[in-house]
Order: sequence, then structure tokens, then C-alpha cells
Amino acid sequence: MISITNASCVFRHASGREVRALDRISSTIGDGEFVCLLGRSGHGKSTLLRSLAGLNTLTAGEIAVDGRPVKGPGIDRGMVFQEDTVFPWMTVQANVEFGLLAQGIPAAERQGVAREWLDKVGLGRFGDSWPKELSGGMRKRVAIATAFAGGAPILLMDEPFGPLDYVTRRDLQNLLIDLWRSTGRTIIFVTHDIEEALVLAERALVLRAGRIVDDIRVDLTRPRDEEERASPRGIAISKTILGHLELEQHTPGAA
Amino acid sequence: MTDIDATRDAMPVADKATAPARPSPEIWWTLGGIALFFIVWTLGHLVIGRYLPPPWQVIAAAVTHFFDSRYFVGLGLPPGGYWPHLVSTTYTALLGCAVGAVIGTLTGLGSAHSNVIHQITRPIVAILGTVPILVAAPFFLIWFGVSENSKIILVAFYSAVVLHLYALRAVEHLHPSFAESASTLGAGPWMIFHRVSLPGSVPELFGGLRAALGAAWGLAAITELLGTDRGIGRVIITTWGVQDIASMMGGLLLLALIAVIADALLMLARRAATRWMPEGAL
Repeated sequence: MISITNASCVFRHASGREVRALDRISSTIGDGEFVCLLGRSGHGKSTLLRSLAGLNTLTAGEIAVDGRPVKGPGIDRGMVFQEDTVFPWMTVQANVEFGLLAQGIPAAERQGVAREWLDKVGLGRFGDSWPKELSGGMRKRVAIATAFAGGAPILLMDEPFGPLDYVTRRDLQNLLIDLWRSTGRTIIFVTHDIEEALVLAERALVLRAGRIVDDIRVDLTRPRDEEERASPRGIAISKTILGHLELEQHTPGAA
Repeated sequence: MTDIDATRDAMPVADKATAPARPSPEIWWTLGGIALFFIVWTLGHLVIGRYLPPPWQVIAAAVTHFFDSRYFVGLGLPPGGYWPHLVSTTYTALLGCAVGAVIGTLTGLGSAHSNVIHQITRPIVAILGTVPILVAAPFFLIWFGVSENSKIILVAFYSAVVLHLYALRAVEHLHPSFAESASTLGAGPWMIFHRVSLPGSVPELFGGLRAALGAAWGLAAITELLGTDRGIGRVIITTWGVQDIASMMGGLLLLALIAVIADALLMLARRAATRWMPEGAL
């Protein structure tokens, strides 16, 4: 379980201006949840995710995983970045093995685990390829396989499908849902795309100006196809989120 | 999961890889450039006269005195023609460049990783980097003696500064999310250094190596002009004494030939070491 207690983060710009990226955020995320962090650019989603990963230091408050405070990156928390982080100088197989190598797991076991994950993301035949020989969507699959193969029970994803085309993104969303359901890992997924949150999330945390302004249960049935998202409940959730993002200023009653 | 999406996307690359390797028309332009060089040289000879010998005289001198030359011995050079001098200068350039490259790469990558190392090396590199290396050459001969060592140290000194700057820049150009991704996978500082920063810097390091090696030949020969018992520079300065310009230029031509071959080998090594890089990225 992840518990976030009064997490705050203040960045000071070179000009001396202070930006409160996170403002006394508190929440808990249970094991096996699929949570989307939603919000507009610059409202704290990525800062919160990077703080969970231990790549960003809080200026106040605490984040703890199973009671242990987060002090830095750890193998209990894997991450998939928006940028293409697949190492181009390693084969696909070596990339997926990287986390296992860091953990000192013997070569034979590493190879077995990596092959298994490459199969699961549909790249079973591409172990010996260089990343340059793969498309952007395939490299994202490698990044996902790498994060899962590392064995972290918590996976943090920072707009991982942002730069991809619509159809590839839908393919990867389905892949991620399959992996989440078959492994039961906790996934925290940053997105600015409401549709993506409706497809993926069990729960949506909406951030605005560094604060959590809403915590919504996305209780739609799966698969979350077009009809399901267009159901009264789906539309209600969309409207609530849009309201928080201040896109529907003309709508009376939207907070 | 099926591989359908994967196969579709990977096909064009496979096609490119199996395309037959045919010599490109560019080779003819390169040969044309070489021909142009010799034409301009010959024209220069026609204008300047005997102080700029034509290519055939220079090539004749290089070939005649290559392995053995009584004429060279008569001038006070050791027996064996150009050959032992060529070996000596090549040894100096390659060894000096290699030693300097290792030192510069380590300090450069080290400063990119540790702010302490960066702050220590920054003023040193700033001072050493601005010293005109040719002006510094006589001092090396005074400090380390008229020997192979001072030549090697001079070349190493220059290569270290060049490689330091290239290595530092290489890591700066590497996207920080590579190192962050490695750290979220459990990699410590050492693993990030040798599995991420070092391999990620290889393309730029080859660029630095090329610049350093290119300069190494000249630096080695210049120190030899200042005083040494062996090396192409020694042959040039000795034959200068008797106004034998064809033999002087013969030494230069042979040195240039070695430099071109060394550069070509370096580029082959770079190709082998950067097979992972996307085409056209270098």
C-alpha cells in the first residue's frame, strides 16, 4: 500500500519565483489498484509520480510504501517514461534483462524471465534486434516488458503512450490492461487524456494547482469500449473530470 | 500476443539490411578529388619551380629511400631509410593518443557524473585547454628530455584535453531519462556509468578520438623537428639542411598516408562499435 501524507513540493525558479508543484497532497493507493492521475500540464501529475518513483524530493510531507518512506528509486517501484528510454546500444533482450542484471540475478534465469516478458508483450521474435529496428510502439512494448520483468509490485507510468498514434495507443492500452489483470500489480498512470483514463483506470485522481481536487471511482464494466464510455455513468465521469479541468466554464454547477 | 504489429513495422528494415552492397557513385567523386589534388600540385610546381617538386619526384624519393638509403646515412641519419622513422612517429602518435584518450575519457565521464570531479577538473581543463600546444612543445623537451617520452607526453596531453571535452559533452547530450530509467530498475552509480553513460557516449568519443588522432601526427612530427634522434620530423629537418625538398616532402607524404590509413581503420572500428545507432545519426 502506498500512503501519501501532506506531500508538498516547492520549486524555486532562477528568477526567485516559487512554484508550488504539490500542495499538501494526501491519499492512499491500495495493492493492485489501477489509478490514473489526471490533470492539465503543469498541475503536479508528473511531480507526484516522480516523487513516488523517488526521482524527486518532497520539500514537506512523506510518501511511504508498505510503511517504508520513499528515499530514492527502488526496485519495488518500476517506471515507464514518456521519453523513449529503451537503451539503443543494447539488444531488445538485454534491455529487458537490465533490471534483473541490476538485481544480480544469474544469466540463465535473466534470459528466461526476459524471454517470457517479451512473449507477453508480443515481441517474442525480436530479442536479438536493435531498438532502432523497432517502431516507436514496439519500443514502448520493450519499455513495458522491462518494467514488468524487473518484478516491481508498483509500476509508475508517466504519459507513456503520449507520442504514439491513436491505434497504436489503443493496442498498448489493451496490452497494459491484460498485463495488469494477469499480474495484479499496482499501476499508477499519468495522463491528460480523459478517454485514456476511462479506458484504463479503476480510480482517477484529479490534480489541479498541486492539489487533489477529486478522487473518482471509474466503475465502468470492462471492456471499456465506445458504448461503455458513452453510457450515462461514463459521460457523467467525463463531465466531472472536464469540470475540474475548467474546460466547461459555461456549464452551471461544474466546480 | 501475436507479432502482427511487430512484423508489419519491422519489414522495411529487414529489406534495407539485405540490399546488395554495391560501390556507390560517390567513390568516383572521391577519386576525382584525389586527381584534382595532384593536378593542383603539378600546376603549383609549374608556377613555383624547383622549390615545389612535382608529385612524381616526391613519390620517387619516398619509394627510393623507403627501406634503405645510403644517402640518408650520409646525411647522418640512422640506416634503414624512411621506415624506422615512420615506425617511430606512428608509435608516438598512436601510443600518445591512446594514453591521452583513456585519461581524458575517464576524467570527462567522471566530471559528468560527479560534481566534485567536475569542479576540480574544470579550472585545470580551462587553463590547459587554452595553452597553445605548439608553444608548449619546447617546454616538454626541456622537462622530459629529447626523447620518445616527451613526444608521447605532448601527444597524450593534447588528446586528454580533447577527449575530456568530448566525453563531457557526450554525457550532456545523453537524455537524463536514460540514467533515471536505469536507477528505477535498481542500477547503482557504477552500473549507470558503465552500462549507460559509457556506451551512450561511444559515438561522440569516436569523434573526439578522430580529432585527437588527426592532430597527433602533426604534434609528433613537430616535436621531432625541435630535436630528436628518430622520426619523420627528424628526416624532414635533416633533408632541409641540404635543400632536398623532394625528400622532405616524401617524408610528409608517407606520414599523410599513414594518417589516412589510421583514420580509415578508426572509422571501421566506429562502424563496428556503433552498429546499434540509427542510420544517418552520425
